Amino acid sequence: MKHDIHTVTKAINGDAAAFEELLFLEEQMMYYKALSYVDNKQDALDAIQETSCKAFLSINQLQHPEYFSTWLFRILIRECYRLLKARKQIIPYEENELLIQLESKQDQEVESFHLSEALSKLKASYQTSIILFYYHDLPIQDIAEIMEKPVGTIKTYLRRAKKKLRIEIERSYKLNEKTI
Amino acid sequence: MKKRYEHSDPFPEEQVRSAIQTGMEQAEKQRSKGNIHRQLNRINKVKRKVFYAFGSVAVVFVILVGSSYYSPALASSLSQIPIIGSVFGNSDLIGLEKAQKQGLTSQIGETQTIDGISVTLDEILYDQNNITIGYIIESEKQLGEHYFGAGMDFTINGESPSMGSGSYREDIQSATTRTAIQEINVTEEMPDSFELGLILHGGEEETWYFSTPIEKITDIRTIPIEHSQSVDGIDLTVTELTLSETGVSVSYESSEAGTDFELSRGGDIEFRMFDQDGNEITSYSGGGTGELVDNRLVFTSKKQFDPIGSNVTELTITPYTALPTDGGGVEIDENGVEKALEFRGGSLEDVEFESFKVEIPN
Repeated sequence: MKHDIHTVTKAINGDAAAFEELLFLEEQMMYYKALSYVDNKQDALDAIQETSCKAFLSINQLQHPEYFSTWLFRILIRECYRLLKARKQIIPYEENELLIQLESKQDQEVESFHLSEALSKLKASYQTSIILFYYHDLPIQDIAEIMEKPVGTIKTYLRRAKKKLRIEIERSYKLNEKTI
Repeated sequence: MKKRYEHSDPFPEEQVRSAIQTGMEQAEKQRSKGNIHRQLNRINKVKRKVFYAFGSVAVVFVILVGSSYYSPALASSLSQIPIIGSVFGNSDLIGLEKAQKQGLTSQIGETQTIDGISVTLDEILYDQNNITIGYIIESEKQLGEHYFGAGMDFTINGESPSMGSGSYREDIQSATTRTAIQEINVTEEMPDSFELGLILHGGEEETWYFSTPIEKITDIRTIPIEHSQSVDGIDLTVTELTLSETGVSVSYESSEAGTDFELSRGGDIEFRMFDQDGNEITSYSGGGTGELVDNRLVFTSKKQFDPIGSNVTELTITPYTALPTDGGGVEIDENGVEKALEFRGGSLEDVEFESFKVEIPN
């Protein structure tokens, strides 16, 4: 565990200075994590502010001090997702990264161009679950919490999203062959 | 994957720290507010009711302004309200027209709009017989004929009445405008002045709620009569005549042996009324109640008539029976099972009552 258990315990007991110290230690991780979801500085800062507020209000409910970081980042990702959802934006991703992740689990090689087009044709909930799972490597349990849906639903989203992606990518290839 | 961000701009440490601190301050504020909330919880509970009432008025006002701004159709129909003028004034009921002209009604003029349907409580008259409510209903779209069912439910000082009877009628003014007149028969439960709550339900489960203080008109004269006659097994006692600018009413009580309301005639008694010059005073049916007391069917009722002029010095009143020629009904038991009731009153015979005269002191 990377944090001093004493400091975490003090924070759980309502010590503001201890809580601030812990968040300052995580500041870089928080910032870049938020940025990877919301894709711009101002939104990342907003997400951090909301996260600090919610975390400080609920830290007394944290039962295992050793999981402080995991707990904090769950709140952060949920806040990022909320921000995006409110703006009807989709979680940004780097195509190449996502491709590598997807390809390692698929037989077919896919070009980045076809992937982004196919992905954009999916429903927002399918897009989000694919990006969170393959690009952000989040466990299904966490995705379920962030999207406020049961685990089973997320599994269904992923299964259907993959199927739909495959169909879209194949169609996209065929179309391009014809035009060439 | 976060590499692309790390290598681009430098880490904005100050801004991130400031975001963290602002977030914590926000939490502190919310927490202290929460504490105050807990302390004030008891007081809030008491006050909440009042706030809700104010709140709903404010919201409705905003909606009205908002929707009339956005919808040209509603705006133009709202601007037509003055054309309708008074609901009572335009009705063909002499008592209401007179009451309106003489300023005996309370002008309310409150409008509430829900989903493009605005209901304006126009005026209210509270006399010895009825609480009569006139309202104007305007809608953006055309509404079905029975959209508002049988009119408004009412409360007396916030309490639901133990019983209520009355009538409701609508007059279609245009495809999207109708006026309605609702009468609530006055019962003993109603004080001379009280807060009348009115609840109107629409076909799409909208609910309009109005609340207004009302006062019974003061210029009501009561003339005790105590005229009794017994004809064909029916004891009829006319107890009093009340006169006001808005109407005349005759109160009576009848009693007859029997246990079957369907076969009784006491509940079917009406009155004809003529002045000293032979002019008939138009009658309106009024409400009444019947009860079974020691194997006798006892009815108490009040019949309503148009108002009479100051030139009237004497009234000749003739009771008669207006027996139903057809009918039947539906009985609904506690399990909601309906049973058709056959009409059995066909064998009843009319009762010939004697006329009596009442002097009107001036």
